[in-house]
Amino acid sequence: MEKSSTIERKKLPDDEASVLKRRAQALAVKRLSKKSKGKILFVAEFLLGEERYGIEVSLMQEVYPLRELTPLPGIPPFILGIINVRGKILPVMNIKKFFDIPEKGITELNRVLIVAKGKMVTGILADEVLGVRGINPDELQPPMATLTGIKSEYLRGITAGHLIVLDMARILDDPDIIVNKNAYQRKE
Amino acid sequence: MNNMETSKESRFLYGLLTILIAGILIPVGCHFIIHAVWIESVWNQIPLHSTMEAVGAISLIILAALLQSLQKENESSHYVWIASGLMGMGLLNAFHAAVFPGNQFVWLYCIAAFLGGFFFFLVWLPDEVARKPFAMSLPFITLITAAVIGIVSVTSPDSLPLMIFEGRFTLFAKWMNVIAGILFSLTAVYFLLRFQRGLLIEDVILAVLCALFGSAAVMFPLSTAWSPDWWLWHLMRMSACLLSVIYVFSAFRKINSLTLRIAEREQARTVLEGVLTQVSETVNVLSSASTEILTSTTQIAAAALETATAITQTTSTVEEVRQTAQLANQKALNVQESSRNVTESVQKGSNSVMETIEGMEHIRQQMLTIADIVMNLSEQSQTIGEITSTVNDIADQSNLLAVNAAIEAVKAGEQGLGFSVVAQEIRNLSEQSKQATLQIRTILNAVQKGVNKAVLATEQGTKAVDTGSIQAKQSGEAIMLLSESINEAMKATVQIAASSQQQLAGMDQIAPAMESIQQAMALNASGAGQTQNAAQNLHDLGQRLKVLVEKFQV
Repeated sequence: MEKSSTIERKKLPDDEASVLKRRAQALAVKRLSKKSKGKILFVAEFLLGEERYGIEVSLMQEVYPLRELTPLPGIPPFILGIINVRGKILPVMNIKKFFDIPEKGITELNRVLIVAKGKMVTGILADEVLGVRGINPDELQPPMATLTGIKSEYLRGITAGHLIVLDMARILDDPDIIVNKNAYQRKE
Repeated sequence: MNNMETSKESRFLYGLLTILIAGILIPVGCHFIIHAVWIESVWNQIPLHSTMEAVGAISLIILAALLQSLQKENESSHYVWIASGLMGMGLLNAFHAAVFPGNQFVWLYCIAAFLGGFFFFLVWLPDEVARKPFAMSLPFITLITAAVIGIVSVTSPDSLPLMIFEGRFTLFAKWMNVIAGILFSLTAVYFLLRFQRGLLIEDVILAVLCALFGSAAVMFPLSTAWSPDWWLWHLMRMSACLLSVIYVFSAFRKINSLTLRIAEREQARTVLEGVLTQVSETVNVLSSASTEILTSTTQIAAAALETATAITQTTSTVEEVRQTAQLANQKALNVQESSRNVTESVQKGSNSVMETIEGMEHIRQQMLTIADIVMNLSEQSQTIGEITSTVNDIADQSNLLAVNAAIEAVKAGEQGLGFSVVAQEIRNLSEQSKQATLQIRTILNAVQKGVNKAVLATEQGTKAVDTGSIQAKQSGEAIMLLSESINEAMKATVQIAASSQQQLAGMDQIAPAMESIQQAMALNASGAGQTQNAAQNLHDLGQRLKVLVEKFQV
């Protein structure tokens, strides 16, 4: 009895150890990439449709669950509506609609990534926020317009792992994003 | 007998006395009186004499005709002679009355007396002679002969024999009269003898008549014409003629009575014939009726035989029916027993059904409880789902928080590196929580499906139980109906048993009754035989009677 119990005790620590080992390896990748780079670009990785997108963490304020979306009339199609985040009213935009990418797959659309540059604060619609990861900007490959459907000027690049890193600062600087009468008309 | 004999003798004596007195004594007495009183006187009265003679002639002819007719009707054949004599005498007397006195006058009288006497005397001849054909027509022959004699006498008086000479009658005339008188007397004797035999008044009358004629004829020779004597015998002859009239009267009376009697007899005969016809018809009816009775009795006898055989068959049939009734009784008893068993089984079945119904009710209650429990379970799993959802939300928020923390950590730079690890851990935890909630959700879904199935199953179970209990109730009702039917059947079998018992008793009574009927039928058969004999006798009697009646009618 004692022998069998000791064997089980020994076995159980082995399983736990393997789990811990896997977690450690996962962490180790991050650490390696952090160590190998002198300057690491942290991006918030999110899913929208089937694609994974990344936004610079420096531009991000927070991630917010999409609740109580209020649709507005007379606005461009890439803006879904407005939300209230702790007293601040923010528009929520769909990047795919903005880039005129045809939508594929099932979308949950239950996350909003709140990004800000200067006075410009807006919510980017996401299916799921996968987390924050650091990437080596040198490893970024130039985007293939045909592949993403997004103008290369709005992209920083694509990682080897098919993470589309958006140039959010440029998007936020784009005059098209500002909703006014002209822009709307031009868009049409 | 003596009285009859004496009356017969006295009648004969009276007749004899009458003949003697009227025929002989009175004339003789008168003769002597006349001789004493009127001697030698002459009464010449020709018309008186003619009248007397004519009346006498007519009387005699009438008497002759009457006798002739009587002779035809009666058996008295001797009348033919009397009738002939009277006929001839009457006609010649008529001629005598018609002529003047003289030879013719005397001749006609004499020949008349002679002819009368002659024919009168012929009565002594046997009856066979009188019955001969020529005798029947003798009166007519005599009549014609007398007529011829009369006519010849009247036309040729010279050829006649001399009868009167110088106022005196000749000897020839005298002898003719004497002979005639003798013949008349003998005839009178004949009638006297006949009267002695038959005692008939006619014979007396005829005897007196003959005696008077005879006396008159005998007195003729002793008298002279127109003398009192002469008138005396004329008066005698007249008396004889009157006697003949009396005789005719009496004869007519007799004929009248005879006619009446004949008419009565005819009537009686008619009645008798009618009676005979009726008797004949009755005999015919009797004969046919007896024939019918005979056939009927024959049929009855045959029917009795048939009935006897039928009774024998019926007796055997009754025995069979009796056995059948016995069998039926036995069967009814068996059926009664088995129906009793069935009733018990039905009672058991009814109890079982009642128990089933109760059990079904119990099951229904249980099913309801199960349904409640399942509903509770469902609600609780719902609650678990809600909780899980909350947990999921929490995990989600934790995830967000972790992401936000990571972002903040990155923003913090080097100082935030450690925090970013913590944030990563939290994120992992939240992931795990989410995974766990997903698993729970999957399990819950499975549980929910199971619960739903259980709900459905319980509902179906409840329905099945309801159906089962309804069916059980129906079964109970069916069993109750069955029980009632069986009860009725049992009652019916009881009645059948009782009635078959009665039938048995009835059959036992029928058997001796059939025996009695058999005996009665045997008696009937023998009686029919006797009746047949009687009918045969009756038939024979009718036949004999028929023959008799037919004979009578012939």
